[in-house]
Amino acid sequence: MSRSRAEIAELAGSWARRNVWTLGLFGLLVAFFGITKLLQPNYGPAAIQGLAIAILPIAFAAVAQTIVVISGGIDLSVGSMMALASVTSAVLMKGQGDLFGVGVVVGVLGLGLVVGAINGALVVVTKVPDIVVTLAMSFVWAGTALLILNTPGGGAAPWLMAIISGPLGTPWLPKAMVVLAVIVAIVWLPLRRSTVGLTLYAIGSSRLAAFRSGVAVGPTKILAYTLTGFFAALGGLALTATGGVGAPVPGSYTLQSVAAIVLGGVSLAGGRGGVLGPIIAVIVLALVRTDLFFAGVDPNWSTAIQGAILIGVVMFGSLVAMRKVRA
Amino acid sequence: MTGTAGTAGNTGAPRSRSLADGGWRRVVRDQPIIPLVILLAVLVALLELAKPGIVSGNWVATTVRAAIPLAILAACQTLAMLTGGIDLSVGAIASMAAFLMATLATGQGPVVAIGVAFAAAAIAGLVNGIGIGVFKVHPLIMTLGISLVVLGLMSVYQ
Repeated sequence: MSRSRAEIAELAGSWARRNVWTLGLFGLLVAFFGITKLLQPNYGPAAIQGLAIAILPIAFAAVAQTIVVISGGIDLSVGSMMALASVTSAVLMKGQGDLFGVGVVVGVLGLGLVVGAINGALVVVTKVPDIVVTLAMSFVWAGTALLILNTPGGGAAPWLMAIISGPLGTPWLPKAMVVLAVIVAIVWLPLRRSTVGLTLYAIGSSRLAAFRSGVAVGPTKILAYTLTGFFAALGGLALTATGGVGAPVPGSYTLQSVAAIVLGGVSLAGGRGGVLGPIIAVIVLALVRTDLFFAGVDPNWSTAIQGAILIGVVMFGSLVAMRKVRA
Repeated sequence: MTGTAGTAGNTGAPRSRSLADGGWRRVVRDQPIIPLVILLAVLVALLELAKPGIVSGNWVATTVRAAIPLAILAACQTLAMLTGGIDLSVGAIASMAAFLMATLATGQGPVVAIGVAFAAAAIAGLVNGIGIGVFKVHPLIMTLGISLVVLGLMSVYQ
């Protein structure tokens, strides 16, 4: 009995060691919630619901970026794909019934898969660096989005807006958070456990070793980009659902997603990280903005401070890693 | 991003064969400037076909003038890329230099304005370099962060 308890303790210890970055980030999140509560004593359920809705598109963008970076690539067209998905859904859904809206959502997710697969196929077939291909494709997708809708417009089905607004059960649990958790749990968790998920990590960790172990590197890479397209489409749908209209001009979602995954402990070299860290990082970054606003800091300073925090945290992380290597 | 491991799918054909029937491809690979110049000539020809008479000395002057800022940014991006990095902050730093020069030139004179703009841009670049070279921060993140800092400080200064 005592032995099995020791084993459990050891398992928990090794889990904690492997996820030390995510745990640290979670501590940071709790600290920032504390600071927010101190600065604004009546920060409560309503504000948390607003926060959850505001971060939903960025959180999907971060998950999308995480998957492709784990496989050793990077996708600079995430923001443009989100804009494309957003305008497509908004144009098709405007003034239509609920059932049609469901069809549109499924169709847009399919579009995301296709767009992502095109990105991936181009990267694999042309052998041009990922960063160049996806930068070029970001112009293509952003242009297509503008062709579909050149000013913000269209509409969102009422049910789509309803499933992310308001609380579920207790007022402290926003629906948007539940939607995010359920979708990530349904799509990502089974995948990560499967052989396909393992090969995603493998080609990111060492492409050559994966190739020599019999992993089909090309198709796996295309799959990673396809999943990225899928989550970017979810981000686009979230944009439509939160704003009620389609947004043809991509915001800074691509760069925000890169910032979030790096803060979230995903290695840009590939093969390391998960989706939980980036999602927590997205919330932390949003809370930093909120806190700076509540603290009465000139909004112009907040951009500079966010940049400094980004660099500071990553620098801290690499200093810790460097010390570990030396020790 | 594929980096050094990108050779996995690259089956090297015998060199003699690639010389025989892949000569053209080799020229394209070794001298990418040749197809680029051909592309430029084709585009100019297409433009002339689409709108006869548009290609003139005046047209060349305006086109080149519009292209110069981007050409300078591309040149400095080359320096970063040669070391295996990337610089996402060139746009922000260029705007900062333009802004500093424009605001200082009226009061302080052009020499001081240009000097301050150069100094500020060099400091931003130095911070980038220290972060990437000494603290081993990934170039994408370091330069993204610096571009946020630079843009933020500019709106504060304004």
